[in-house]
Amino acid sequence: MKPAFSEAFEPERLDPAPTLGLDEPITADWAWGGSTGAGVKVAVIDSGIDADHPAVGGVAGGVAVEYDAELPDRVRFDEGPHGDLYGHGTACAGIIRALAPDVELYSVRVLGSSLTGKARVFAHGVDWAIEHGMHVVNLSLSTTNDDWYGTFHDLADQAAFTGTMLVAAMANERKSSYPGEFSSVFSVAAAEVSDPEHVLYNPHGPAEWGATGIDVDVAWLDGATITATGNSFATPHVAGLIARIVAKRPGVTPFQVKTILAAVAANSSTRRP
Amino acid sequence: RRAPAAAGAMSEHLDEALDTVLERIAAVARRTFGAASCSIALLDEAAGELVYRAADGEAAERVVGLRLSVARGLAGFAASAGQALIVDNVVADPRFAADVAERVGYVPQRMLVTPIARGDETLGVLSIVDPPTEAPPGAGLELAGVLADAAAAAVELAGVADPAAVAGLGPLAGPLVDLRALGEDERDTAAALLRELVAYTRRRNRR
Repeated sequence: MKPAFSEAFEPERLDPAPTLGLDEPITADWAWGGSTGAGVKVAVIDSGIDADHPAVGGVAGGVAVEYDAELPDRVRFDEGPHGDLYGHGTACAGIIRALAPDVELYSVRVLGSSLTGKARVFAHGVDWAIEHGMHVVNLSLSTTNDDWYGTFHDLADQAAFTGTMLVAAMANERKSSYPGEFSSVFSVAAAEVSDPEHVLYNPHGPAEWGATGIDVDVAWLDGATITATGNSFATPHVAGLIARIVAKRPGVTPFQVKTILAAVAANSSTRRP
Repeated sequence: RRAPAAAGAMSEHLDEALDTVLERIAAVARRTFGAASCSIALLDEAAGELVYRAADGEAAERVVGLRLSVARGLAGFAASAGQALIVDNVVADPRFAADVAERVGYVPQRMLVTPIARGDETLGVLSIVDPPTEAPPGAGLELAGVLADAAAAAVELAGVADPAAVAGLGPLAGPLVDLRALGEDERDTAAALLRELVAYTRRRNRR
């Protein structure tokens, strides 16, 4: 059973990625060879991260964002350690850690028992990540709340111009969601890709990148491992690979990273190891 | 005074109608996916819980009435994140076994959970239990989303006449409940009369 937006990556439908026609094409080795993500800060905006899970191997910091009607901005920031309420954030963190073992993981918990003000809390979580200098932000969440379209667009623009890579999952059902759809964001859907280091590039959008996200073994609560499907599990695959690229070339911009990723995509005619 | 009693009667009627619709949706979902069961829970935001309102298939009668915290679990995640999820080996999640399987007496292997939502506001969760790995054609996340949307529409319509709103109708509540028992022609006439009255009052107030 495949999530929405993954059909763009089916072999019969996916065009070869456009090529730059370079004399010496960009290779995966050039892109991330030898890189383990050292020095790169990756924020996981989700349900929290269980730092003790063996697949996660520790968390460098983070914040829990919660709706609070009493405060002027109606959100409260609780910095300091927190756990994972559902397991989803831990799953994403585990995938990133597996691809880029030396990144610094940060947990931005925006999910909780209060379902009030979800889009507001989510937006503040993204803002926190940008303000705190995160290099890569994994958003396996999205909002469909049109009232917040402008805010998320502003955040995406701000991220793009401050070198923060927003990597967002497309919704699992066919509906508009933000910030995944915005062109500067790395939008990801699950594809039939067995190699966790392979991505597929779809220049037509809105799902630009396809990665492993179907029947994936992921870390979960209490040290467990479950097998799950969703665009949200493809997203940290792309985030992990981006972390490797950024670690190897600090200061690289989101648009440069997109160029690199497209060149090494599995549907690139110039893909070399 | 008839108004509070009429308000109660109307909301009870709508509640029953909602249960019927949700049961039908659960049954269609279960059949179409070829699943062991399907259940629909609605959000009780004040209690922070998902309350199972309708179920079809395996252990259905034990599921209805079940209350689960929205702060944990697969259904809780779908409610909180507004996102669907498919899990293949549900029992590997130790909390699931305790929360659900033990209380219901059925241990699923595979589950699809999808939020029931109006925009980004969660109304509940639709759970499809043990759908086959090779789903029947067309039975995927998209169909689950459509069924969840149908459930959302039913919940919304039932909620339009919530007891507080109905009580606010005052002396109108009684006659409106009576009209329910009369024919379509009578209801059309009543609606036309009310519209005329409202239009007349507006014109009169403008002078």
